[in-house]
Amino acid sequence: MRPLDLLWLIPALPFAGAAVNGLLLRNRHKPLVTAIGVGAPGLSLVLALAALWDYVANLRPQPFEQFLYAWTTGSLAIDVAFRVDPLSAVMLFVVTFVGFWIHVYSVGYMGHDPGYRRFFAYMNLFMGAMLLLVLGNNLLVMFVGWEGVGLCSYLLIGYYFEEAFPPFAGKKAFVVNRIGDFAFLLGIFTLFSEYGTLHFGQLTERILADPGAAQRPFLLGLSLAGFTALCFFIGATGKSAQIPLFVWLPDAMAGPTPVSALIHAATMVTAGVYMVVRTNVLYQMAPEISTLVAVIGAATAIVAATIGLAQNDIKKVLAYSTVSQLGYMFLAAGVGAYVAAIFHLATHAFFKACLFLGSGSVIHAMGGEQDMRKMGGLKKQLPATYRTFWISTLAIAGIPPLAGFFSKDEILAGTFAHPGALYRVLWVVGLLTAGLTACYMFRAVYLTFEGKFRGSHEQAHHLHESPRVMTVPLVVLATGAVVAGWIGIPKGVWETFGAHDRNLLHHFLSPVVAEVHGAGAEHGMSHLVEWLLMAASVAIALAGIGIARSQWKRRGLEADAAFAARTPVVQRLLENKYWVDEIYDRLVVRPLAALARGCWKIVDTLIIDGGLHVGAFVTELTGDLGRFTTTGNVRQYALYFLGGVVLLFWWMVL
Amino acid sequence: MGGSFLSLLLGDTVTRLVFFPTLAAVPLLFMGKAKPIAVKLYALAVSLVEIGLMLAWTAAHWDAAGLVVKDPVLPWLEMPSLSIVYEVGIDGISLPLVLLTGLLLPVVVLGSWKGVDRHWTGFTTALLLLTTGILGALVALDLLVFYVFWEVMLIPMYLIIGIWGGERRIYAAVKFFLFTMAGSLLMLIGILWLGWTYGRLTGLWSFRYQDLLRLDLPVEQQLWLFGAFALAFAIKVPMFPFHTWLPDAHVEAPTGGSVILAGILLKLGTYGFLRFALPLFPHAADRLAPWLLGLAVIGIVYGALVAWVQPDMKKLVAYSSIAHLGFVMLGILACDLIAWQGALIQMVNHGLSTGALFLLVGMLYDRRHTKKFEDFGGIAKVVPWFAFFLVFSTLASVGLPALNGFVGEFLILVGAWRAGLHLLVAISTFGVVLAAIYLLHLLQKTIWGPLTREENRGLRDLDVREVLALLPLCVFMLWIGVAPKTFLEPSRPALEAVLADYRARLAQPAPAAPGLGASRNPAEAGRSFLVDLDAPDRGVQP
Amino acid sequence: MNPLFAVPTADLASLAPELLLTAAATVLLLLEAFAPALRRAFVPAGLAATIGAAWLLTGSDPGPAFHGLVESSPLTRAFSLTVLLATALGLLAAPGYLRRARLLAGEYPALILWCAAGLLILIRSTELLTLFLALELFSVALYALAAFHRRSARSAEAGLKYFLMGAFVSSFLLYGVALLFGETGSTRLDGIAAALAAGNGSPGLLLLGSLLVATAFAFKLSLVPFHAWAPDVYQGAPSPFVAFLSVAPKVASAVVLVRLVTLFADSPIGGRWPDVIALLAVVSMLAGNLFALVQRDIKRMLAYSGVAHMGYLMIPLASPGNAAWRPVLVYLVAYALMNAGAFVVVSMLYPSSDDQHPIAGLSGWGYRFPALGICLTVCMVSLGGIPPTAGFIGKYLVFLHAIQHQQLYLALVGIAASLISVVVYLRVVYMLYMKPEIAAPQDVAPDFGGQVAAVVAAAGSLLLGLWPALLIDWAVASLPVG
Repeated sequence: MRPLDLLWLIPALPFAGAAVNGLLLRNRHKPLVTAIGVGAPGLSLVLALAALWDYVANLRPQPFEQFLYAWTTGSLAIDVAFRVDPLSAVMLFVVTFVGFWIHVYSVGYMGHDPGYRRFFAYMNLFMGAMLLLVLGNNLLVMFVGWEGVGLCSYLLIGYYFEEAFPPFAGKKAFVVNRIGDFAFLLGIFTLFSEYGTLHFGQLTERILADPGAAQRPFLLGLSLAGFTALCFFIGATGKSAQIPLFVWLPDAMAGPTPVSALIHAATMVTAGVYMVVRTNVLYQMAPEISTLVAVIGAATAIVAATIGLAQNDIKKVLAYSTVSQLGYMFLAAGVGAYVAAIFHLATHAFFKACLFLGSGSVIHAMGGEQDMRKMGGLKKQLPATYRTFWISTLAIAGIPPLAGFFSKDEILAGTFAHPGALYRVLWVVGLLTAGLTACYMFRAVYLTFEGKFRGSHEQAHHLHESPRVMTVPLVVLATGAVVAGWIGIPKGVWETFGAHDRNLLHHFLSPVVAEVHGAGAEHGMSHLVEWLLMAASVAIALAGIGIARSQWKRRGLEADAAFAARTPVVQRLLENKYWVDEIYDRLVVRPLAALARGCWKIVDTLIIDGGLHVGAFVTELTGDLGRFTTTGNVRQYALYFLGGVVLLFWWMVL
Repeated sequence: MGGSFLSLLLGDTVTRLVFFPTLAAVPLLFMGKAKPIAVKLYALAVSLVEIGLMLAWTAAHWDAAGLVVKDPVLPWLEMPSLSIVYEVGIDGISLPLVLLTGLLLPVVVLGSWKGVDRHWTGFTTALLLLTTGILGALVALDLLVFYVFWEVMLIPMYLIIGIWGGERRIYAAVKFFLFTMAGSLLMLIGILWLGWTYGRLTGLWSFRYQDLLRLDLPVEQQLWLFGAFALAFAIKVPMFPFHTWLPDAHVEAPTGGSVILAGILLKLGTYGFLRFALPLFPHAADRLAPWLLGLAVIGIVYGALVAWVQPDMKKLVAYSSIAHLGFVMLGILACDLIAWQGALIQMVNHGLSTGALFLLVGMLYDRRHTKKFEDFGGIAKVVPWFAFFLVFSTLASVGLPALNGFVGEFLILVGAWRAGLHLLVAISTFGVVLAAIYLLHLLQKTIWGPLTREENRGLRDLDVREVLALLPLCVFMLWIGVAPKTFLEPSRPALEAVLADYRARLAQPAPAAPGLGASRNPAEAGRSFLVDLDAPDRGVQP
Repeated sequence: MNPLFAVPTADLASLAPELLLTAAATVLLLLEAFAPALRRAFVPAGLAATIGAAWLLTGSDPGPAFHGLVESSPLTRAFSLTVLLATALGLLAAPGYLRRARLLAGEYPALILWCAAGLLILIRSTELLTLFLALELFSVALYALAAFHRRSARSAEAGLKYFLMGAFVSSFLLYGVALLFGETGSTRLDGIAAALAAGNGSPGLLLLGSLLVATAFAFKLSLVPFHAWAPDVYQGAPSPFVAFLSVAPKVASAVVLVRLVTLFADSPIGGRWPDVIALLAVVSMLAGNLFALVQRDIKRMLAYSGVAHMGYLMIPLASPGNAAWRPVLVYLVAYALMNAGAFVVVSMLYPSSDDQHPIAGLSGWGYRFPALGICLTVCMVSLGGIPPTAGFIGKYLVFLHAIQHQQLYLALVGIAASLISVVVYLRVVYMLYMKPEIAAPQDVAPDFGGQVAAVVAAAGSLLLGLWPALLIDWAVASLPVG
């Protein structure tokens, strides 16, 4: 039996863990809970590594499929089956690896939480669902996972359900995601009714078999491919917090920090990117939608980055930076650099998870305090946290040779290489965003770790470095943040140094990208340009860092104050996140509620029931009027009789 | 007839499944003085026996072909040139609903344990008679017999709402009765008219389904007949704008009543469309489908919106039923096999998830005697198991994948989309979003957040009985969601046959004058779903 | 030479049931005068006589008698048995009520039996004068019975009103008979039919005559607008008697009306008759149920509901012919059971002393009197025409007949009316079970006979609904197939 045959266990184990922890065990079994809660994803990680080794060694690049059972048969035949191909392989590794270490971290972080058992149950459930999403060999299984992770996100955001806000934030996340899923479903329906299958492989084949069919006009003036691609992308904007559906992610920070790290940074939120890459054949056939994807991605990237600049809650900063980085990934997908998208997805998983866990360690030390204005100078008390956080920040800022540099650079290069003026603009936007990223991330670093402590006394009193169980994962992930980029060192670099291209990721992933004529073609540009681009991004990153250093290293909060004083409008605009939440509330939520009340009070109560009651009343009234005919007076009765006879007779002889 | 009927009653037959509850109700006439607990246990025992009988019957008589399994036909009302037969049988379309009825019966008994605080003999009797009515309507293969059972359901339900209900129970009960009656009387005229037409053409009256299926009627006749049937069923479903009886009925009805009402009674409306209205009058159905589809989709969105702003949990769930059954209607009217499979399974799904929700609301009501949101909030900490089941059932009814609700909605929407109803499907899919909104609103207001009311601090969590009532439902919610094949396959042949027949008849234009179509011999036109099992050529698909 | 009184024994034999009833009545009257001690036995004796009459009926062989003044046929037998059924129910329910009202006396059963005899003759008479005599025979008895409750002013009023109206109507009838005889030269129905067919006589006068004769029976059936007496009489008269009054005379009168209308409608002058009947039917169904809807007194409510039911009964007559017999008979049997049943229960649940019978008075009594409650409920459901009860079978056949004769509109009016009626009957049910008890019963004592009557009626309604073949087969066997 080969390791790949145990593929099904990889999602099954966390599910089992969730069931046992959630339904069977009680809070008092804490050691057992830990064993299962961490053991299950641990085992999955081991199995995943084995399976991946097996796959890479023996099967690559052919996909490996494992059929479990038939979900439905007949004219709608859908199997529950898994698929390992280069794309899912990368995802599988990222999810299991990062996921496992975050579970380990949680043992420490959640150690004293009364809901410890529930937390691990949810987390395992999430792992299971996420693996379903990644491994599913057809859109339905993927959708099941897709909704499953949504559910866990809902439950974990609302984990502190005894407070008012978290459940609300959870609900918001779920509903906003549902809006995306609505489009996702329509896409699935379309593909099924046009191609009669939801299997990724078959779909790609059948679409490529007859490109004409896919490009014929379908709905909303879009081609079949275009419509489907649009649907899927809208679905992705929900899950991956892109404009216009990004509003839920910042609120999602109401959940425990490991959750933010796992779900809202490393894995779930990247599902959208995964989906777009998965269905890249559609996007290649629908350039107009690809453009849209790129534009939305870039816009999201810069908007989020600007907001991140003005946030004081450390987790909010990271949240917006996540949104921004996801924007990068979509920019990549939009310009056809699918590999780059996945590349950035992977590297981002490491450094962003590390950042979140770091912030968690800080919050842990601060006794739950998240406001950076109350922090400062923590690097002395939290050295390990500080170092890992700093490394990851460098990584995200895009400083070579750390992970973020390579992936981000590849995206920018891809954008630049894409023909069309618009893409030059997008490139500029991307570049600016890179600078902003460096800037606000280092602002966070400085506000948190540099300067002097601004918190209360007792906070200052019990400041302490987190336990091993928390710092080890930090170190592991930081390492990842350093080395993860090296699997994707661009072709140009190798060739410049006379070595032949060792861009492993590219070679590994390229089979996933469907060959469609006249789309997604490999961009050819001279090494010089490539080097210049790298230089540019590094330069702007450094510039960003420089600004941050000059502003916040010494002056800390005063810089913010000065900034606010200088440009109050901008400041308020950014602080209030461009009032997007408020706008949605006014434009969508309230009108909908008003409509609902109208339906209930006016249509139901007033019109329908009112009408019925009037009818009933009229009937009664007729009867009442009739009562006057029976007066009890016999003369009258005789008269009726006579009248009746006469009338009838008159009518008969008529 | 008497003797032979008796032999049916005692034999291993559909008839026994239908009338066993009635038989079991007879001893209750003499249990007037018995202790409530004794009656409760008796009711529980009876319901368990009933489901046992059903399972035994299914195991013994069901075959994969999914064709109808019939009892011998008995004369019920015989006159020269006019005879009504008592003809019952179960096919792939009725089987799931029959079994659902059986499943819900013990659940209802357990769920009413505390809620029904008086006249248990009366309650049990009503419940059992109601069950007979429901099962009868589900298995009747003669339209007049169907009508009789259909009406038999009314009185017990009227009593259940009116006797064991809330403050405005009488208003609700009468409203329920009148709405249903108004529709069904017109249907009666329609049925009579059909029987007479058949008699005119063949010289022999008949109300048998398989006979009336042969009638090929001119479009305008089909139109008003379909109208008569559709009205009766649309009121039962209920479709917008005939729905206003439902919230009142649900809010006032006792828990058990609501479960039966939502679980099965409403399904008889959708079942009626699938079984009678569409196959009997294909051209009219085809002509009017756009309007009904419109109403169905309006129902989805409307029900969802109104549910969202209800101050009363039960009312929220009631309106959610309107939305869910809107999906079922969408599936049925899409006239697509996948959509029909979805509609059928969705009928069951709704019975399970909404049944569970009503049970849960009832359990809160038993404890606090209120169903208003304002009296709850943040009770998850106090009653974790209640919270678990509430979340579970809610998610099932939100249509979360891997739970049952999703299967039905997915199949329905895929099928309808495949049938080309793009706009309607889009709107309905948006209804799924709204479902998330109002159902999570339900959770938000009841279990999440800080504990708002001191008096809820001492709330008891679910006891064994309550868990036992909920467990079967939840098990099936998960099972259907994870492995729907098991539940979809038995019905497929029947649905295929009906659909094939429907399409075949739609293919030919309606005649100018009433005429007789092909016989229902499966060799000819696709009516194989009505062949007796002993017929040699059964299983022949068109 | 011939014997002084030569009555062919065959004729006597064919008249045996009526003779038995009359004889029994006379004997009871004498016993009341000379052996009042036996009172307790009177009603049972009357019951025995009724059953005996029924037995004789089933034994009697068909054919005309007394030179064709009366005829007996399976058809008349069926209807006569229905009358006797009502009689039996009325008698069964009587003793308890009479004892409570301190009215226990021989006259009651005697009058009832006379009444029954008159009705039987009416059903069988094929000649207008016999018809008139029979009518008077039972009417006079009815007047007396309506006023039987000596100490109740209402009862006396009821009797008087009924008598006045009855006399008034009889005069119309007589005048009609005269007209018909004058124009056709015959008082025998077949003779009249022949004359009409031959086209003798002035159409106008014939129409008037036929109308006057028919309306007399429309009055007995209390069809709108000849119904006004019913509520007052029902409310005032002793309840067990109303159980009889509201059923038996209607059965007999319906038979006559079917005969007459069929006869006239077939004739050259009868073109308008179906419309007339249809009109009466529609008006009665709607008005009856509408008025019933607003009654608070259960007996008045039942009176109006009776009006409506007679309206339904007229639907088959709107397309006269032999086919009409079947629905009419079945409907009447169902009506006899459910309506008599209802009044029987009412006679037990309301004090004999007062003359108000508020429906609300029953609040919560469904639990206090479980058996009676169920019986009343069944009767109400049956009156509402809801399956599985006799009432539904009746309505089913009636509507079927309408559809069969392309009179869809009658069926539609019918269902509209039944929708209203459902509210009326449901009110009683929810009073019984859904309202808290407002008053503990006083001077209310369900007696054995009454309960038996109630159970018989209710069970009958249910049985005929569950297994209509029982009734239908019997009806069909006895009817000319149309």
